[in-house]
Amino acid sequence: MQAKSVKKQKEQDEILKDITRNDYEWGFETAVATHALKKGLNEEVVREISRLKGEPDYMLDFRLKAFRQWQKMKEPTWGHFEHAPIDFQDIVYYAAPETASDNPLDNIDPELLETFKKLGIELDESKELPKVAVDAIMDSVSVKTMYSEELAKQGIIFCSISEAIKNHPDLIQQYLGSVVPSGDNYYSALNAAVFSDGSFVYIPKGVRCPMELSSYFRINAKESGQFERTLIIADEGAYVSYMEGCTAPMRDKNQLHAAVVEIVVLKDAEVKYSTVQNWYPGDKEGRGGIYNFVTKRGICKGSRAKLSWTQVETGSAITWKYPSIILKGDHSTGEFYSVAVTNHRQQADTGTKMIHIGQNTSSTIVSKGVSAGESQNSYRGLVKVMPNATGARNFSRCDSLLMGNRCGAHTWPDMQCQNDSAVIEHEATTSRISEEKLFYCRQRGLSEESAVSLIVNGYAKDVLNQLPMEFAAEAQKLLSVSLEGSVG
Amino acid sequence: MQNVKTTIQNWVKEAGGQVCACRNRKQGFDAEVNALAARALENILALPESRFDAAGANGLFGEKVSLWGEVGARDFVERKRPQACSGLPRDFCCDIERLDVQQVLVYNGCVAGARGKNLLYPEMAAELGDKPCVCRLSDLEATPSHRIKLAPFFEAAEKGLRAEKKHVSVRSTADFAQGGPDPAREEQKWLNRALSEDTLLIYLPEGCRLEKPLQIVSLNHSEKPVFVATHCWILLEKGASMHLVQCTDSHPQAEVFADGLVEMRLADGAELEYIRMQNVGDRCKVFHQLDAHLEKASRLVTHLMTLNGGLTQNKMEINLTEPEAYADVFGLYLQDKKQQVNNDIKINHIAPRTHSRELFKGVLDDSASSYFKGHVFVHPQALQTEAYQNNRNLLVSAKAQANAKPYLEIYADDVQCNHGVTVGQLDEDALFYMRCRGIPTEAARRLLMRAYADEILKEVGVEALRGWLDSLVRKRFSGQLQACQDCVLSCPDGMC
Repeated sequence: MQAKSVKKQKEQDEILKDITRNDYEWGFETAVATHALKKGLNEEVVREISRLKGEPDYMLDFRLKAFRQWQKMKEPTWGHFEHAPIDFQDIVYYAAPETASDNPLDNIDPELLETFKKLGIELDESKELPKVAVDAIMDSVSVKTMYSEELAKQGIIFCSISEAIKNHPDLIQQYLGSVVPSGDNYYSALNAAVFSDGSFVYIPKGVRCPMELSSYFRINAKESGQFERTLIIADEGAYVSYMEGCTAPMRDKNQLHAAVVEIVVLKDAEVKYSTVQNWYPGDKEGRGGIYNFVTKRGICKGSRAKLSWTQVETGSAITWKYPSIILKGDHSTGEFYSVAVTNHRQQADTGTKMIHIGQNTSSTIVSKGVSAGESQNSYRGLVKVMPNATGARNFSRCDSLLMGNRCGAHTWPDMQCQNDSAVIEHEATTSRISEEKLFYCRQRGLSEESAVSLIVNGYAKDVLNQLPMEFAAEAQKLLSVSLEGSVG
Repeated sequence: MQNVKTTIQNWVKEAGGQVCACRNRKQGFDAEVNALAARALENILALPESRFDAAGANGLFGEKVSLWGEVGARDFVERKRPQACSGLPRDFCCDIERLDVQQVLVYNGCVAGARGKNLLYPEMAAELGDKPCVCRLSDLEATPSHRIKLAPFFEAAEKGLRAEKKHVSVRSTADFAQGGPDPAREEQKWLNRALSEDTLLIYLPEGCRLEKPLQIVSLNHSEKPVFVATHCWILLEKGASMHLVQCTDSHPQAEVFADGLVEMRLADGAELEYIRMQNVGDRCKVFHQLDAHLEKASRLVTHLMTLNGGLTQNKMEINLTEPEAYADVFGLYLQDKKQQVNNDIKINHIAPRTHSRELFKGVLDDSASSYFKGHVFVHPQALQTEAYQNNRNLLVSAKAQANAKPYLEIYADDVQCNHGVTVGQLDEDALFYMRCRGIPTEAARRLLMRAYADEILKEVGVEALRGWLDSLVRKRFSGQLQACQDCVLSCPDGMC
């Protein structure tokens, strides 16, 4: 027995060695000239960012107000993760690749095109295989937004948020900060003060967006943080499916990513938001990696509105993210599907908030956590039923899978029900991969590694099924890569 | 201005500077107990000022203002300490119908019965020997053997007083995973340690199986608002077993703030069934804490029956410190009017092959609200742990509220843990079915609610106790059960 376990331990060590060799595939760095501000944050930096972007006065006011709020706030400490204190003065708040951003493709630095090609993103519209409109964002600026003209024919606005601030001030003024107010939390206030770019989507009344919209975030510059802001508005009866992907180079130093995503869904509209988060997670020892402190929130404003968040989390050293939905319209629906995989020393504290305000609103939460190595993986969720939310319905299921004895899996749900006609169900289980399933797969000639990958993929199926096709394959591959070397 | 802090200081002043007003014998363990009490008081008074203020984010009892609500300082500062042991009724009885139990009466925190005697066998002196013993701690001689037996309790108390709340902004994983006594919970024991009149000690020697259930009747009665603290130690040696019923009762009009602390240690193979009945008036507040330490293959089954009470808080921390320890925690709360109930259960799985099961069910009517917080902690070494946690709420009126936080914190992989929460209503189909068969709506509703409560009641081990609890629950649903119906109203005149 003893000998067997020693042997098994050795095997595990071998596999672990393998994985250290199998590095983060997206960890390369692009040599492109960057224009960056000096490190540090003060009122002058905020003004400078606004000036560089040539923003109207109302935006400067918005930023300054947020900055003043941020100065008075304290970092939240309730999350279940550890990190050294963040020095907010040691971060570059604005970094831009030095190319004129609003020119045609020819003017884009070939290095940049190459970068995105390496990441599997074709910015050249002539090579249209699956038709996905991408907004590619490198550090602080949007490099290129595809198919803008084609989409514009249907009245769809898909552009970087900087352009929207200039070209569509009415929409921006109406909706920016309406779902996530600047003072919502520490990181949203920081984002509101210094956000540099991001995507803006407006789908007009009754329009079904003909293609998947997508934004791709890439951190490249050293010591910079990324603070992007996304605003999606689906007008009455509209539909859009939106995808978000992200990667970053491998660096020994932690980098901060504090984004805000706001989604407004009006009457009868539907928005699907999918994320495959693949930030650099740090190395095996927990050095480097992205600190991902993100605020994502959507509001179902009108009746029968529908919003769905799907996320696959494999990256970043720390994830602190709770995509939430405010169900304000009657009969509105909210969905949250999540797979969070942590390995090595990654720490994830993620979940959702469902706030039922309207009548006969319903929400579904499916969260699957997988923790391996020495990682910590938490689900934290709130389901709140307000007194007037008659007929509210919630179903939550959050499962955790543990691999190895040095990781942790935690569940911190919170249910607050103030209406007697509401029905809330919450279930959660925590266990490890069943020996029987493993044995079954092994018998059929699968290696332990591929057996685990197969089982985990099956376990996450409920969530992966929700992803658009283009993303599902990538997500499945990511899951197996993330878990390599964690068999035990 | 008077706040919670000055109130506590005044109480101590009134008691002539003595922290424990009732303790006037200078022998036994008094030196140790007084030292602990003094230390606890010192700790409380050293808490930041904001904690004593009702408007602060956290009340003295660690709860957010929403629950602290009217329990806040305004109410607390009007309270007095009851006249020590003076009102003790001489011939009080509180019989569980058709059930042969042994009874101990605690009146406003004072243990009734002859001084220096074993309350189970009145002819014998209080002694932790080879007979079961129920006595006051102050009646016990401080002999070396007693000292050894009680040492773990004193050590735990001592440790709790030293425990410091960490106010670091950045925690480390090691801080999370260590488990053990929770500083926040320890803090809430201080008030009891400083102010409890005496300690009721329940002791079972090795291999002793007590056949008759033991009933502790904690009667709280005062026409003026008072603060009462009771404290109890339960020590079961190897292989001992017993059924213990603790009733917290009051007159329907009483205004008592009852703070109770029960600390128990179960040695190898010991078994304890502990039923806690809470049935006090709407103007009463009950703050109860239970702290259990379970050794190898010991087994604890608890039932928390909250039938009535303006505000009831049950905090429980169960430490499964050795392999094969087993804990079952059941709870039933039936709340109406503006009653509030808060069950906060933490179960620490520290050793391998430990097992825990939680099931809390509640019916909430009128504007009642319930808070459930379950926290299962699994230490990295606690492999093959099984932990189940369940909370179900039935909302039967528009203004009722249910809140649940079922937490799992797991650092070991070879475990089976799950939790579930539901909030819902009575099954309309079942109601319709019964109405079709001529059962009036009200009766049908009561029938369904009783069936709902039955899942908890059926777990009670002693049949006679089960019958008694069932009848209480039935009366409660039909609105006939006032606070303390079965105890106080059947007692001699002039008492209630």
